[in-house]
Amino acid sequence: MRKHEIELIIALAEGSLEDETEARALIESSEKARSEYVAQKTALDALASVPPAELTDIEKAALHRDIWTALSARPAVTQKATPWHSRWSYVAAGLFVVVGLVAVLSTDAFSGDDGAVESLGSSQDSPAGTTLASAGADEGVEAPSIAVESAADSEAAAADPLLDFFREHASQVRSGQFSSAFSATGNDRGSIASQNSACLSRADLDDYEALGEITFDEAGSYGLNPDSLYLVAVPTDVSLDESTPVAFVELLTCALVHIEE
Amino acid sequence: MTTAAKDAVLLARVAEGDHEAFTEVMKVHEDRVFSVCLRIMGDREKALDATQETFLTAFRKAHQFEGKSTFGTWVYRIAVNTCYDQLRKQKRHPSEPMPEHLDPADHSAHEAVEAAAIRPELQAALASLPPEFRSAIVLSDIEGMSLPDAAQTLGVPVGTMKSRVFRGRRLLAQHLGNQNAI
Repeated sequence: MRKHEIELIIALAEGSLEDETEARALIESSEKARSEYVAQKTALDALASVPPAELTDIEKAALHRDIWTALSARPAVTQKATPWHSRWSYVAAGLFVVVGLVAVLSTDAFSGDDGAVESLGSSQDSPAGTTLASAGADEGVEAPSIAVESAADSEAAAADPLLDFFREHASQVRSGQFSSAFSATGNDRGSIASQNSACLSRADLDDYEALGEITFDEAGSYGLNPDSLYLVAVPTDVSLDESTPVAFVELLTCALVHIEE
Repeated sequence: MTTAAKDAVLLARVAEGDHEAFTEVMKVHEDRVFSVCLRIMGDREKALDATQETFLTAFRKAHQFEGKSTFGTWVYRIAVNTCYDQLRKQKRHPSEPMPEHLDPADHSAHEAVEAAAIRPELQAALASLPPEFRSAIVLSDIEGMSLPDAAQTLGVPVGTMKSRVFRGRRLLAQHLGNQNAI
């Protein structure tokens, strides 16, 4: 059915048409239109019977008490269980140790292993966020995502709830199963992307577009700070597949936290 | 001063520990937020939890409220989001529904439950809708929000909102029809 016909049917069912002639003619001439009208009317009539829902006075008092108590008890600074910036300090320290060892042990330290020197250079000069993407493209250098730390930390990294959180959501995005309250599919993708382009720009992800947000409660279910709120983004105008990088931007600060390669 | 600007001032006062401002914000929005949560969650206890979580989040994130919309639109968006998260958790960890636990001192609670009750077949039909269609129906057809306001609440284009309402009603009618046929 055409858009105009659907809008006529909706308006007829809602009783908002001044002149119902065209709409009535449509449903009389088309079985499909009549069927759609009946469905709209059935739903609207059923929903008209839904009474208003209100809190009782006792429920309100309890709500006010519990919320005010929680707000008053909140510490001034919320410490995340596993702050990402402290993990970055381990990553940076690990990289320096590795590169230092390579330089000492290798006879081609300054003429050969450009990949390692370049990646160190990029990690020194660039914000942590872009280091993730650029180093991931360097030859012979593993993408220094939060998981790739020193060997001693690798076991801890494997059990890192934040990493699990990012991996699971990246997998959902790539398989087209990502769903959040504000996820974008099809025609919505442009709208969600445009609303969040400024934040992505601040995260140096100008060539990425936002697909949606992962909310605090979702993060809380992984044992993370329930105030966490992440924007999920992928490179602009790419089809999603297993190799699509998925970026996670902390929405309060617009800081890039992780790119799942 | 615009409504949004007034809201921003009130929120700033709440953030400074002004209980009077807090009570004023709650008084204006609590019933509607609860109503949205109840119709999406379909269960009073879960709706009360979601309502509390909604306001906690709204007050904690008050610094993010830029006044581009009214506080109401902003908090209803948080409410819908909170309900989505709780529905997803339920899906991952389904549990037997608890019997309604009503405060024995709250005699009005029983009346409130009955007053807010909807036909079981309609409740089941609403529960059968995918969350994005359910929230569209709740905001538009139950809460009476205009399509632009509902679209802004959900953060989607008006056209998308219109489509979700249309398809949500169609699915609802199908489910009601199937129940009648049984």
